[in-house]
Amino acid sequence: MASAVVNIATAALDWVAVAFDAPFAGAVVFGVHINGHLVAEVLLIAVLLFQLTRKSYKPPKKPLTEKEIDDLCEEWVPEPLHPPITKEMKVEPPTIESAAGPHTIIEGKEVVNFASANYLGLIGNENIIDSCVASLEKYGVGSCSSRVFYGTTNDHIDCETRIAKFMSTPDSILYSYGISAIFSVIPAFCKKGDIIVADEGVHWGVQNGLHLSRSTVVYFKHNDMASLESTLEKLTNKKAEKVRRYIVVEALYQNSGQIAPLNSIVRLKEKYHFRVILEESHSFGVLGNTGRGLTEHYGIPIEKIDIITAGMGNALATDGGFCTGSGRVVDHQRLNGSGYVFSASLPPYLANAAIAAVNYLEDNPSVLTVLRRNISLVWEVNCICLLDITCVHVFIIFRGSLF
Amino acid sequence: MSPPLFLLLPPLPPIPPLAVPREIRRMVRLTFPTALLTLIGYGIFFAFGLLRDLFRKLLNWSKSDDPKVFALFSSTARLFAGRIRVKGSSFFYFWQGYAPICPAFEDFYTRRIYHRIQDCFGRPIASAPDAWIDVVERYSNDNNKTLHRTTNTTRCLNLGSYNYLGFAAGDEYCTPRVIESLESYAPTTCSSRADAGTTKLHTELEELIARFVGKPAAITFGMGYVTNSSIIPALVGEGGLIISDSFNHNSIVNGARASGATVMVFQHNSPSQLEELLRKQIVKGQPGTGEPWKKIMVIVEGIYSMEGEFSKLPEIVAICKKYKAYIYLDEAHSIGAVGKSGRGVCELLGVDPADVDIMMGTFTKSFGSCGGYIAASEDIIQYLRYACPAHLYATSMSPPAVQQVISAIKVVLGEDGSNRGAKKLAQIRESSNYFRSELKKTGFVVLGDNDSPVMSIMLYNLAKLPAFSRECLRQNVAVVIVAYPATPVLLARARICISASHTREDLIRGLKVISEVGDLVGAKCLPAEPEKIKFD
Repeated sequence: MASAVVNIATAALDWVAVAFDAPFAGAVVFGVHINGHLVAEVLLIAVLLFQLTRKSYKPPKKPLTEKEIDDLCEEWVPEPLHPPITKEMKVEPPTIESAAGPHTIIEGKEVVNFASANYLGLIGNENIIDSCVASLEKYGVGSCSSRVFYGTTNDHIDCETRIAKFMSTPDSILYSYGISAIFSVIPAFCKKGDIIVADEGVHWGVQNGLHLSRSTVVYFKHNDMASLESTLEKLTNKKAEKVRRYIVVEALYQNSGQIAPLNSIVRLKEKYHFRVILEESHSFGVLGNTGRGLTEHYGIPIEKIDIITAGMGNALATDGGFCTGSGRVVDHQRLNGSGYVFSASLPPYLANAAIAAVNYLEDNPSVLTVLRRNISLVWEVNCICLLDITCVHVFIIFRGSLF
Repeated sequence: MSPPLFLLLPPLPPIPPLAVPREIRRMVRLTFPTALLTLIGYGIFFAFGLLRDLFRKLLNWSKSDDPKVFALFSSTARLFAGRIRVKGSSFFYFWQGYAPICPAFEDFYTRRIYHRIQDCFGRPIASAPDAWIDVVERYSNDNNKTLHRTTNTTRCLNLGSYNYLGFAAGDEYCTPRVIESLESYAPTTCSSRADAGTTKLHTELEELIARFVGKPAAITFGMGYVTNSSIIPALVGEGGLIISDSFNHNSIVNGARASGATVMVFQHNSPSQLEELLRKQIVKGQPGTGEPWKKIMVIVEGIYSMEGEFSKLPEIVAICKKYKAYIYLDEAHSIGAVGKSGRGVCELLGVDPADVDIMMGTFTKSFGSCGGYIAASEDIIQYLRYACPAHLYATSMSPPAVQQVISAIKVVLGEDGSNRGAKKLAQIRESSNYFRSELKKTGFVVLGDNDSPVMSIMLYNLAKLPAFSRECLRQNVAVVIVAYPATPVLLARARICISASHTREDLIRGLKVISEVGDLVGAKCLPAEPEKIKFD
């Protein structure tokens, strides 16, 4: 049996050999010797070309029938809107029963309040309350409209002018919520294709603004100037000069309490031609001899910082936020700041409270001396933290003690 | 080598999106001649704007911070002076090596079109935003580029503020309580809700608003815009699908973008197209991987503020229930203003609040305060208190504003011991229906459903807008005009908001003025009804 198979195989091979040694196999065509293998190669190429010219085989696509779509829709099960509620999620914050001043009442007990960012102690200030009452009687509570449509009162414009005068800038713009200032400003000036170098320790509002801007965001190590310099060095190339480039930092970091070294930042900004967006929510009214913020603290002329934003819910003890800078910067936001155009304006009584607070700060710079004395007292008594010695954010240490 | 001539030409401004779907064209009666004339009008404005930009460049180029101009200058300088080191050279001090903060082409619309009509926007007022307001007169010395206030005011009928129930100015029940709360709690708590910003007032408001809306629990925030932008990312993340109406507000768009989910848009108020999209997407799955979606959320509004029409909520809720999608309803304009007892669009259209997963609203419009809320099941609210960034990091709502909302809701519910709330609701319904029907009779194209307090008069042409607004102001009626980017380019309009504090005489006066101005401006696109309405 095996020998028969071998015989057949040998016979087949012989036949193939003969075919290859056919008369034309030894011919010379145009100076090319045609051997057996050439025939096989030509045949192979012919087969390949033939296959290439055929349409590729695709399994026929049947569109799904309505019933099949219905079945698939029924089978699909969505995740629940919220994850399972854990014990951690059920923790409730304390409910305060009086004004959030230095002393407040929780569950009938008087406690010392280290949790509110009431840096200048303006909660409960008589002048501010009186101006608010006058404003409430005149304007009511809400302004019922956007700034663009009859939501602008004289108080809003006065507040903007007052803040601009206090900060010695040409103009300022008022936002109706502290956190919305920064996340409206960043997308108004940074578009797709721009470069932003931001500190990794910035708070949620800034991160939201960076995300919404769709620019390329590069983070540098928290408050580390060497890291900032190397990041700026890496991003400087000839093409990058045509795009807008920003450094986004907070003056006093909400999450860590450290102060940004503005002198180094300005030096780097001028060396590498970046613009600076400075978030001064916690430093406005706190740093500097007269409370004008980080630029006064370091003695840097305010024209060197392109955009300054701040929330007024901290030192100024009112609500809302502002942004200040050159005239062009402020004017641009009146049509492009989403939190300005698409939102109702700040209630007039809060704008009044802001004016009263700024007036108080300008007339009583001694309140800052008291603040600094209190801070150094706490540092003397409690040396637990290894934070930067110029930090003024002591409340972070004590936040837990209220519970 | 001579400087290339193309550097003298200004860059083209970004072309605004012009496409208007057929259904919308039919709804707003955008005919071909109107669209053509509007486009020609825009073309003329753009041409003049480009011409002015060119002259600005040629005449003021030494002061400009535009890199194109510098490139022209530097190449000219190179022609004469050989290679010049540009960077760091103290001679070129005016261009510091920075890209301009507002490039010329991004600002084109603001500088060349918006500045011409800037006096129609941002008009300051010197009184409360009640039925009648004192509009401050302004003047300009530099062709509307900057406006300065004067001390003169004009008493005008206010048809522009969102003061639906008339709580904007002082109210006899609300204001004393607000002042009391101001004296007890101070204007702010200087703290976020999670730290020390929760007062008894906040808890009371949350319980009250949940009860008012018909949901088990609620959470409040200090600003309506921030409510949308921070809640949507907390509920839907990557791997989820957000389907939002094409006319949704900017805050919803921002929130959807910030969430990281895939965002798709369905045709405005079209339940059939929504169903088609849902079916297709559930079958298709996530883009790229084809994995099934983690969750799908459909976002619609109660009243669309630019059109004044209600969403087709019953059909949309039915579709979402069938396909297991979550529904998020934004009632910014409808809460407190529509419905028999002011409970919003759900009450008006007969939808059970339990069928809507998340109900959002703001306190700015009907309650005369500020802030926003979310009402949903207890578990969802518990989770949001833990996970929502606005709750954890943003300052809590101002206590007097909270008290204003509490008092206003009590008035609406009749819990203050009077029936003023019911009277206000009846008044606003009657007034808005009367105003809209009269406007339609005089021949305007008016958008807005029955019972909606917001209506829009279509003006289309860009030149008619400032004419309409200025002429109305001259006759002591304050109206609001809206153009691109808040509306599509070809569909500019004037928007009217009726308030419960408008009396019948106010409305008749307003109708008379608008009718006259409409004749002057040529805004009456439809024939007037045969019977002439006599105005006193």
